[in-house]
Amino acid sequence: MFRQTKGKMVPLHRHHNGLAPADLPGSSGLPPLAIPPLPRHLLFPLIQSRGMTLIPRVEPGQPVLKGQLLAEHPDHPPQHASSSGVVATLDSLPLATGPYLVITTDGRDMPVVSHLVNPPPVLTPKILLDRIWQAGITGLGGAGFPTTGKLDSAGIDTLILNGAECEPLSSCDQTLLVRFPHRVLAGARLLLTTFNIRRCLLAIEADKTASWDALNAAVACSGDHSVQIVRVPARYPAGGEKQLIQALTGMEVPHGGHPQNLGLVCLNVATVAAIHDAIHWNSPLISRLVTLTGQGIRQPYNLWVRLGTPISELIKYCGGYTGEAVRLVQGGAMMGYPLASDQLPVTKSTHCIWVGGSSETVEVGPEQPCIRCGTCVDVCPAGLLPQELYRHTKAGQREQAMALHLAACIECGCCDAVCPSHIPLVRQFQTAKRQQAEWLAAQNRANHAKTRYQARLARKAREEQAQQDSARRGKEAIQDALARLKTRRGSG
Amino acid sequence: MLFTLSLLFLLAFVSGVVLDLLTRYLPQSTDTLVERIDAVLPQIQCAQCGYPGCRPYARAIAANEADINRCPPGGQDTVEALARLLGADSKPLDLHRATAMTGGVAVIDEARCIGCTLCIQACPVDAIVGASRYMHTVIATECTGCELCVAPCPVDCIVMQAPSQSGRI
Repeated sequence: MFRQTKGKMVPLHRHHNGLAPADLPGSSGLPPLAIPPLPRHLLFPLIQSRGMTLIPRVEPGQPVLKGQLLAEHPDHPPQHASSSGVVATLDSLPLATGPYLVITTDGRDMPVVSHLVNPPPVLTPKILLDRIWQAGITGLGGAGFPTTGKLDSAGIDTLILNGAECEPLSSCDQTLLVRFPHRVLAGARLLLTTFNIRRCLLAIEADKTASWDALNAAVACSGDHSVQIVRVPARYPAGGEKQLIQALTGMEVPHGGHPQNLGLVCLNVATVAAIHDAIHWNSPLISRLVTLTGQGIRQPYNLWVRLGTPISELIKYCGGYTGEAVRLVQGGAMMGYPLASDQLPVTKSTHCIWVGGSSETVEVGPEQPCIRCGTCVDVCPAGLLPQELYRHTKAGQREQAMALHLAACIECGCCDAVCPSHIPLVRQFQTAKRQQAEWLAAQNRANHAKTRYQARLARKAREEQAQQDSARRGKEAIQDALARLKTRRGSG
Repeated sequence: MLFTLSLLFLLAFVSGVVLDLLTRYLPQSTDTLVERIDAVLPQIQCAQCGYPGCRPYARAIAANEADINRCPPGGQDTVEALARLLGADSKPLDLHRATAMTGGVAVIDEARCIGCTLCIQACPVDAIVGASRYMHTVIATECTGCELCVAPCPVDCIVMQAPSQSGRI
């Protein structure tokens, strides 16, 4: 299979399993782009996706400006204020876990004055990585890992820009590519020249013709063909990192491995646009595109949202809930997770809010025993054996589940969708994955403590030996002295 | 017939000699059972089993000197794992030596520390830094939460805190 991209040919490789678009919840076309008004309060959770707690750098009652640093952590990019106002409290929300930083906005939206020169006169990899970190950029595709961690490795051969939306209902990346293709392309060129990357592929799904046209127009307009636009078959989950890499390069990222080991770096298009904003516009990551969709709201939108905006404000902007609304899900219909409250804010990893209507949510039949039909194996895009994983995780057989690469499950929900026995496989895998991660962490801690305990025993043995040696040397010295005395007396 | 038999005997003899030599001269791994038991134990080094650490307890189990149900931090899960490993019957956790452990991290009230080094000597994993008549502090990431440092402190300036409060990830 070949696709024409400006004279060069990019061969596409056999696509992974997964589901065809017909088997998925219906997409509603491209909802319009809009900017909701400034909310009264902005909320920033201090606990991040990997369990780290950001350390606040502002005091309650302190006035802050838009773009000012709010909280930071040595292992996680910082969080900045997305508008000006006053820090209200460092309080816990009743429904959320952990502390929040709340800003009461003053409506003036005053930006902070930066001392940085942008774009920097000299752009070395180190300076760029530093700027990306300082701008608080994490992956905007959903996982929310620090972007510098991916770019930090030496010898990047190919940069893959992920414009293939993983979720069938999410369209924020498509909106970005249709409306702001220049930001994505300029961000990519920054990375290409600074890190000296040979090749750059921007992948979009084949049925997204609007993005294709907009990107090609932008490439033609700039006259810079360093970024190749590639169409991949629209098959869920096309936007999964490992699945996309396999479709584009034919290379399989091993279980437990990283694309960096293969000389590849895969970034979401929104992340690259954020890098562009940070370098060219001197703007930290304080806003992002979020898709609001589902039959539970009156008007679906792709909203350009300030981070920290409560989801209820966005729903209000979309005309409020319809009478049908039954579920509030963050992340979309396939891979999302239900939200406890619409008072929770938009974070860096919020890309889609789906308000499911009663006609959209399929009533799942009662769970039946597994009949070992193997349909889940056929659809699993990660190449796993879901029915075996289910059997072992259900029986608590950790070693077997680990040997079958439980950790490689991307929780895409394909197996759930096809299971004729309506077994909630993904829910089981999520629990098992969490337990496995906890067990591994405990195991690491135990090994560490063991090493230190043994080191202490060795140290004590050394100390005792040294003490004995010095005691022996003292005794010998006395005996020597006595012997010398005796010989002197004998001679005298 | 005779030839076949003698060949068989010869083969058996030669392999016997070779095996005997191998067992004599190859390095022996007598500790594998101890290692495997040690791997199951939680490595808190709290000494609640009556032995000075997890490895001495593992050695005692391997030598059949100690029961498998004497590890309170490991809980019933560790008893089950040990029972599976040793092919023994599981039994309820023996708690009569146990102290109530919080599973937290030790924190020294640095203003009250007099620098006596008693806690440093008690710590089984060298997680406390300090010197005589200087303030001591606990390295939170290294602390196993064994609480062995709490009792020796003459001014009672060590308390156990939940891990999240003290900054351990």
